[in-house]
Parts: sequence; structure tokens; C-alpha cells
Amino acid sequence: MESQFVSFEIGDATFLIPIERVVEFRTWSEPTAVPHTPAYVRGIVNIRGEIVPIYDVSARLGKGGTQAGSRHVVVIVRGNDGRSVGLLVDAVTDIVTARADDMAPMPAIEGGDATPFMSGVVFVAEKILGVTDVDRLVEETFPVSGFEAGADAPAAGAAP
Amino acid sequence: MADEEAELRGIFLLECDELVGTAEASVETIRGGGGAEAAIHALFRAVHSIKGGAGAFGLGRLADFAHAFETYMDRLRKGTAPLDAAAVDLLFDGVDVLRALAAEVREGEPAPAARYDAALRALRAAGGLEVADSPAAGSVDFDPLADAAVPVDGGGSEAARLYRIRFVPGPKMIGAGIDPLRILETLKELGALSVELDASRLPALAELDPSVCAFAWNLTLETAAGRDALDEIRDMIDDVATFEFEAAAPSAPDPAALEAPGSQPSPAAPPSLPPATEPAKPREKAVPTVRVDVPKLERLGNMVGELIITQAFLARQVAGLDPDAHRQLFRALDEMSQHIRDLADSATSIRAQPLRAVFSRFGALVRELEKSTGKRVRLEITGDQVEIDKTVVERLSEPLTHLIRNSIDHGVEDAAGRAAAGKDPVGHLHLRAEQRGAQVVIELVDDGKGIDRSRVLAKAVERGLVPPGATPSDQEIDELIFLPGFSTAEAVTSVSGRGVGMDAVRQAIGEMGGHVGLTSRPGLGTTFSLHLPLSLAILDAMVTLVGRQNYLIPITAIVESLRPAAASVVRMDDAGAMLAWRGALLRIVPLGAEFGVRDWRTDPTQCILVIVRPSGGEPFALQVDDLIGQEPVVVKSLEKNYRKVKGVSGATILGDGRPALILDLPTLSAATLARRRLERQAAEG
Repeated sequence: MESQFVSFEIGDATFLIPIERVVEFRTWSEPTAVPHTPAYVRGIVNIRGEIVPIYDVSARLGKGGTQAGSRHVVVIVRGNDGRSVGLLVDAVTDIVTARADDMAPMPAIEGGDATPFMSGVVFVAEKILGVTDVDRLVEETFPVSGFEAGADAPAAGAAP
Repeated sequence: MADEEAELRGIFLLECDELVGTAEASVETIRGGGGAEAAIHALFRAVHSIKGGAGAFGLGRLADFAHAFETYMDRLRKGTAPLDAAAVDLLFDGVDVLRALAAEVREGEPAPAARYDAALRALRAAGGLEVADSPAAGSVDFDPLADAAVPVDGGGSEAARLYRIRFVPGPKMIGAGIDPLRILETLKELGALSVELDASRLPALAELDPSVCAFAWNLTLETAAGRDALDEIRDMIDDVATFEFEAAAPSAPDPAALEAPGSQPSPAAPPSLPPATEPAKPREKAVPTVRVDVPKLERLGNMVGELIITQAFLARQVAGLDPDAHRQLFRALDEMSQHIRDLADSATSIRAQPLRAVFSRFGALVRELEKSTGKRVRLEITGDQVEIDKTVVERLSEPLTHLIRNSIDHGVEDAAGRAAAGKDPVGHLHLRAEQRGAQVVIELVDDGKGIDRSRVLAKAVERGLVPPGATPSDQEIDELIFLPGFSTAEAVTSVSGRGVGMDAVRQAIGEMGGHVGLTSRPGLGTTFSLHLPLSLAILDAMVTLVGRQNYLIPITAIVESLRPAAASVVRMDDAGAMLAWRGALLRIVPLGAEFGVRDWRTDPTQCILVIVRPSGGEPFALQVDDLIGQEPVVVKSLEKNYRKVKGVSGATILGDGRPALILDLPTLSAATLARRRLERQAAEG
């Protein structure tokens, strides 16, 4: 059985996204800012009438925010829960076909900030590429507090 | 075929819920005293319909119970049983058990046996049914049609009349467990029946489907039973067969039938004539309906939304043109925008359902809680005709149930406590709904003791939710009860406080794109308000500019916009700037600071202050860089692909195709207050 992936670049690293999760590609344009969001949420865009957030993959993987320009690409992906999210990446490079033999689950020993967002690895032409876990990538990582009035105030919840 | 039966059964159960709701509303009316006669009749019909459906689907317990209920109702109707307070209690009990039995079928959770037995026994006794002489009571094989032979509404006094009937079983009739032959037998019991078989629909043998009855019948029935008996049969099989009849007695030609277009009335005509239009009394289900998949409706709603955005785009494009030179163009655009409005209204109403569907259940809940807590509570419901998205109506049941439980458990005092406080011993709970702009607001108002703030604060400090020594405002303390896991019930009661707290309510409402607020006055009571968005909400909004971002303010909340004179802006030490306005001091909320916008104008005198009054709140002055203009916009969900954002009620797409955020004024003002105070406390402590 073969699987297909879209490969993309963040800095000098290359990662893969399962092709069935990819909805479309767009060139970068400055999104509408949204308040009270973590640094990796760059804002929202209009995709055929739907409001879709744009996540900066580099910031998400702990590699620092992207200085986005017209050469950058947004990959619209769909999570298992049906949510659509745009992923800001440096470039989309290729479509990779891998046989089952070439794929392996994520080794548990790996360290690094990107590891939690990887679901496995693929051996491609002498290289080992990480496959991004789209569901982890698009999920929220911070709690939605019910205490709206003070959720992000410095003193809230900081009691000893 | 099993699927079809399951589907029909599902439809029946849905209907059953509605019927129980109707029954309950009728009992409420009967208790109120006004229009009792009509209410008794409505109740009788509802119970009768439940019985018929339950029998058809082999739901013995439900059918048995409905039968006993109906028999008792019949006595009430005829005045042979007294309609007193005990009777009303019995009726309420009966409705509760009917609901429990329907739930038993749907969810497999057995209805409380003791309650069922007691209510059944009481109804049988009151209805004059004894186990021995009640064929239905003990019988397993319940005949849904047996009692159709009993004339209803005094039809028995009529002289025998001739009816021509056309009976065409639909493809689902046998699957639904109704034998067409049974209908014929039932008719035969009503009087002299002559039968003519219509086999014209019979297909070739190869195509014959044994599960579908291909026969139809033209019947002539001479009966004294009256039209109602035939109505009953028709109601019973309405979903699965065509059953049309008309009076053919020469002595009483029906003028309506004579005039009905397309009918061929001829009193003397042979019985095999095709059926004429049924001129019987108007029925409630007269409006034909279709079932439509929700995704299709969503697509329709989205297209309407797109249309509005396109219209806004067009409006921007023509804004620079000379109206005199392009009069026709402007007129056409005006007309188009009106049509689009109408279209949007229609699209919204398709998905809408009155809140009655969920509100009607709470009468039973309150009575149950009265029993379990020993408190006395009167539930008043207003605005249950307000319509909201069907999916929202369904999801409201749980959070509202929780709020009502909470109000009765923690809010309303017991009779002694109320007497001591000089209140009516019967607590008052008011559930009310109203549409405000693009929102439906549901409020639950109790006249209980209000939130015990010192206890709430102590609890919050104990749990580390608030720093010790902090002095939050009353409103902030009230907000604490929405924190996850927060519960002030010192002992876990059976009514509420099972660890599922107010945070679950807030979360459930948040998932629907709404929010929950509360106000409480010690000794006077607490009001919870749920703000829910309409499915296709169109909002008139003021487009503002802050930095390079557009933010939208609902027009309905705007009191005034002004560029302040330097003298009217008062700088405070810690609470920021205030605006002297109409003899009062209003807080100035700089949106740029609140939202962390880049490059916003910080000097209020260089800005526009928009005086806003959030629904039910205090006015404040929102500071923005500039105003762009007013636009009707379509509210889009942020939660669909992202999440709820504080201070924002939703997003929209402006005429240039870019998203913009719509401000949520209640949380914006509360947020500012809370943050400033907590920051200050953190700095001090």
C-alpha cells in the first residue's frame, strides 16, 4: 500500500503532511488579527465564506515566528474533527509517495519541540522526514477558561 | 423494511414528545382555569394520538397507560368525573408518566415502576376502569383501532349517513405494522359496509413486492357513528395511507364539498366514484411539510450570506457614482437589497423552531423539584414563541435544566425562609425569552435569596482560584461560580451539585456560540441570561478602524459617537480615562489596548468615542481611531474552525472580502473592569 504526502519546508527542515488532509494552497497575505491569541495564531482569513485561522507552523514547532512575505505559502488542512486551519510554511516543495515499508512510527527517544506534532517518519531517498500530525497541529493547546472576565489577566489563577 | 419501521417509530417518538408537550400545556391551562373546556379536549386528543401510535408500534405499556388516561379524560370531558385540584394533580402525574414511558422506549431507561403503577391505578380508578372489565388494560395484544368504533363527540345521536370512502394503503403501511384488512374490519363494525376492490395498481407478478399493498378500495359506509369516527381512523393511518371520505347522504349535502374545486359531488352518484375533496373540519396539520437534510439548509444559509456580502461589495463600488445620473441603478440596488433581506428572513425561518419545544418540559421538572426539595415554586414562562435554530433548541434542554435545578436548589428559599424574609411562600421562577438583534436572550429570573457572595469568595480563595486578600467586585465574585469545578453546595444535594457545575452550562452555551451572564441581588434573587446567536444572523453594524484593523459594533448598542473635547476627558490614576457625558462619568475603553492592536491612536481627543450600552449593562465609551460607515453584515462563526475569543461575538466578511471581528460589548466592559482590578491587586499583593 502506498501513501502520498505533501512536503513543505520550515527553515532548513522538511516535513510531510498526509495528502488527504490537504484542502488547498494559497499564497500568503496578511490575515485579520485576532486578540487574546497565542503567538502562533497569525489571524483569520476568508476562505469561500468560512472564517479560517492561520497558524504559523514554525512558531507552533517552537522554531520562532515566521517573517511572512509573498513567497510564503498557506496550506489549508482539515482536521479529523472537521475544522479547517491554514498552516503558514516557508515553501511547499514536492509530493512524496511512500510504500508501507518506508514508513515508521515516531521513535519515542526523539527530543525537541517538534516531536509532539509528529505522527511518524518516512524514509525518502536516504533522508528521514517527519510526518506532521495534523490533528495535533490544529488543536488548541491552551485552556478556554470559563472565567472570561479575567482569563488572561496576570493575577488570575496565579494564587499560591 | 425494518429500517422503515424504525424510522416510522422514530417519527412517532418525536411526535410523542410534541404530544406530551401539548398535553402538559393543556393541563397547565386547565389548572389556570381559563378555557378549560378546550384544553380538556386538546388533552384528550393528544393522549388519544399517543395511544393510537403506541398501539400501532406495539408499545404495550405506553398504549395501556394512554388508554387508562384517555378513559379518565373521557369522563372528565363528559363531566362524570369532577375537575378539582386532585384531578389536576392526577393529570400532571399522567403527563409525567407518559413522558417517562416515551423516554423508556427511546432511551431504554425504564420509567420508574412505582410511579407508573401508582398513576396507572389512580387513572383506572378515576376512569371507572377495573382490571377485569377493561379489555385493553390487561391485554398484551392491544388493538389500536378497536376504539375507533366508539363514536366521539356525541356523534351517536346522529342519524345514519352514507359515506363514500377511498382507502389507498401507502407503500409503508404494512411495514408500519398496520394491516389494511384491519381498517376494513373496523369500518365494518361502524355500520353497513360495501366494498369494491380497486386492483388497478397491481403490478406484473415479477415486480410484485409482497411488503407493499397494491390494492386500493372504494367503500360505501352507512353509519350513525359520525364523521369523527372516520376522522379518528384517518388520523391513525394518515402517515402511511390515503384515507379520504365524504358524506354522500342526500339529506345533508355538504356545501363545502359542492364548491370545492376539482371535486365531483353528486349525492346520488354510485359509490365507486373517485373520492372528492375532503371537506371535513380544518385540521391542525393542514400545512404540508417536507423533510430536508440540515447540510442542504446550511448551504442555503451560506449562499444567502454570500449574497449579502456581494451586495455590500456592490454598494461599495457604486458609492462614488452620481445618484442622479444613475437613478435606475440605485433603485435596482435598493430593491435587490430588500429582496435579499426577505430571502434571508425566509432562510432563517426555515431552520427556526419555537422555544416552546424545550420550555414546555420544565413544568414537569419544577413539579418534580418541588416534591424533592419540599419548596414551593411557581414557574412562569413567557416568550416561548420566540424562534431559534432547531439544533440550538435541542441543545438547550440540558443547560436550562441545570439552571432551573440550581435556582430551585440554591436560590429559592423554603417556605419558612421566605416567610421570614417577608416574601410570598411560593417562590417565583420566570423563564423568559426575547429576540434582541442577532441574538435570542433567554433569562431565568428567581426571587430567591441571591448569591451568597462571602461564601462564594471564601470557597474561591480556598480553592486557589482567587489570591487571598483580594477584594474582587460583586460582579467578579458572581462570575466565580462559572469556574470549572466550582460548587458552593456544602453538602452535595440530590438536586444539583453533582460536580457538574455552572462551568458546564457556560461551556455548553459557548459551544453554541453564545454566552451566559448573571446578575444577583442579595435577598432579592438571581437572573441568569443566556445569549444565543441566530443561525443566519444579519446585523447592522458600524465599521470602525483601529490601527489597520476594522472592528464592528452592533448598531443597536450604539447610543452616540463623538470626538471628545479635551476638557471632557478626565484622566484617572489607575482606572484609565473617563469621559464626562450627559452629567455622568463613563469609562473609556481603548479598544487598541484591550485587543493589543498595533499602531492605534492613544490620545482620546484624537479619536472617536462610541458610547455603547450593552444589553442590560451600563454604558461605556469605546475608543476607536475612526468610523468607516454602517453596513448590514452576516455574522460568521469563529468557533467553527477556531474558538471563542474574549470580547468578540463573531466575525464577518466585509465588502473587500476580508474578515473583520464583531465586538461583544458585555464581555468587553466586564473584561476591562476585571482586568484592571486584578492587575492592581497583583501589583499590590
